[in-house]
Amino acid sequence: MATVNLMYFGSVTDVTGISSEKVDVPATLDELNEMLQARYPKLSAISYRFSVNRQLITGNRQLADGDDIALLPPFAGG
Amino acid sequence: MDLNSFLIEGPVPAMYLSDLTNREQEKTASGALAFFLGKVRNDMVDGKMVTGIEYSAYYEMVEPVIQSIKDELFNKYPDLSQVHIMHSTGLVKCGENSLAVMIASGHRKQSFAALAECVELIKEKLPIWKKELFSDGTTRWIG
Repeated sequence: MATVNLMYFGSVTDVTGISSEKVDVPATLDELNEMLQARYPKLSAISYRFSVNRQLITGNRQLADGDDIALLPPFAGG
Repeated sequence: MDLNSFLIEGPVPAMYLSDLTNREQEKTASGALAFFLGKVRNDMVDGKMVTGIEYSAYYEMVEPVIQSIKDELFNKYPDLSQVHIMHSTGLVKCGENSLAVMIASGHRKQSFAALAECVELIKEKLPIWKKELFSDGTTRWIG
């Protein structure tokens, strides 16, 4: 079990009601996603990607203690 | 105003581009400067007028992403000498600037191509979000 920093952005913050939290998470990103969708059921209705330590992640990966994990809805700069 | 920062609270002042231009006068190898200013538009959505946009950013991720955009442009366009990007965070009202880009290069052709590509890369890769604010007080996330 790792403790990570979770950060929420854009429309994701409307679902979570907070912009960050420190949580104990399971071993992998896929398991974390399942945990978050159980905690915040409306997450499954919106589109988002993960970054781990400021790198966009495609697919699954192992999580480590102290990781900075962000839920990023589609970017809309400009 | 810090010409080397990538984010600014509120609208991007037009002076950013003139200050950069003045600084570029010392760099005499550049023959072309190309500029882009993105503005907040007063769109109508379902009969409601957009009055402004509230921008938010993943600050710690913006700098490495901008560096990767610059690396990509410098690799593709060897004539480039400078790429400057400044994006707003917080409230930007209709008519105000939310994004400024300046490209310096030896000759004009690569400056035009790199400028257009830079703006597309910013829209695709920069971790920034916007919430439209409407005249009736309601809001809507874009993206």
